[in-house]
Amino acid sequence: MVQLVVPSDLVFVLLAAVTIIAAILALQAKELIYGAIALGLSFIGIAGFFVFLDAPYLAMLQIAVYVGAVVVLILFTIMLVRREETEAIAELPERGQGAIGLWLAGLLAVAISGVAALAGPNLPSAPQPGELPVASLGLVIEAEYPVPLLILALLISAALLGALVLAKVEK
Amino acid sequence: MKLIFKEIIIPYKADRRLFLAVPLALVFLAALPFAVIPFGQNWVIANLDVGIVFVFAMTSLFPAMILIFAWASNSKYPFLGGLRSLFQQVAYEIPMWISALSVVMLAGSLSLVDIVNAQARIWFIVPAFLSFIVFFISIMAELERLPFDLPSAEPELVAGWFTESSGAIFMLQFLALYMKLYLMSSLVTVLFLGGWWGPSFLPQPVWFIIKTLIVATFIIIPRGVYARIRVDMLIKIGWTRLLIIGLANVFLTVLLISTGLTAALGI
Repeated sequence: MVQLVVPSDLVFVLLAAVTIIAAILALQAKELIYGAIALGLSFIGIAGFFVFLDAPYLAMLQIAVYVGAVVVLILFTIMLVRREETEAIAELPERGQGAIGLWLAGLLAVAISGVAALAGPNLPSAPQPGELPVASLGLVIEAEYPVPLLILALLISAALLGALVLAKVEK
Repeated sequence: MKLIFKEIIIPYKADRRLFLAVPLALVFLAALPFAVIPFGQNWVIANLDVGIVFVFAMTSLFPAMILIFAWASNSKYPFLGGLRSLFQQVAYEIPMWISALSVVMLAGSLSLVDIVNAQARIWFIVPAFLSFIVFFISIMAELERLPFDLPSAEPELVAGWFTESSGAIFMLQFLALYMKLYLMSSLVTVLFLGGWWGPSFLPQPVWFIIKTLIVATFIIIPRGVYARIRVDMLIKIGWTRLLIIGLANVFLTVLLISTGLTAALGI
């Protein structure tokens, strides 16, 4: 992987800033399409976290699946709705909402830091930095989670069959 | 050069910011994957462990950009072209990934350099011929080349999603599209045609570029041969035929590997 020369804390803060600001923009955007783009940016920020954690494979899949497919789906839906309707939806938030949100965020922060402080020394140690080959990821998934893997495979084949059926019906 | 100095006409009521930003993003996205394409044994900018996934991740962002641009033009034809481009590219992305999967299984690595190294004795077009065909058809659809050029069908949609673009904007889009063409051609070279390997009287990058140009020619040639296909045919071929052939080929590859045939071939 690329060697990072900047201090890792700075990278973390920057990535967090990008992700969070993009997420806020996604919620606050007046025009829905800007919201969708901001959501894509936020997903890319999360992919950045994966790269930062030495998991480039996950990062690439995050970009391909979330930005490449989920955001496209959202954009597609927005475009099928007429423009006037999207403008009507984008109304200002009510007055109390911001304060409630802040309170909830504060509570969550307190709860998380409390749990972290309690667990303190017992937290699982961070994995050694260094490259994790994709093959080992596959081995872990297959050895430790065979049942969920099978269920996922079933789900995906069911979805594929469903797509085939839909394609047939159209004809 | 002429295009740079022409006036950029922004349609009335178009979304200015997106209209100007998307072409730049397209060029960026088309240029980025070249960083992991190996032109020769040591001629690669970044040998990523997950090179092929990186290339696919970057190309999967194209339809979103095109759709945003089509929306930003705020005009009928680009919008229809953008929608067509979207469902075509999304539909053909899946056969493309699956056909590349069998190559990855044969090479045992996601790194493009390792994939080429694994083809030192025999090119993957031989054991994975079906996959080559599926991949080739899919990239032709991804690149919106005839007979898959529905998104920019001139008689119906003027010029598809870039109808409203002019001057430098048009230049950037065209640049991005042609960079994507050469990117996909070089990907075919890397995955199926043995990358830089060739008789040693020419240096490795020269072999690589020759192969890439040949593939690009074969992508462009059908323009004069085939007529455009219908939308429903396009979707049907993508979702029923190509997908099933691709999946069948994955099983075939598993069989080849587990029966030891590939080991006998020296892969």
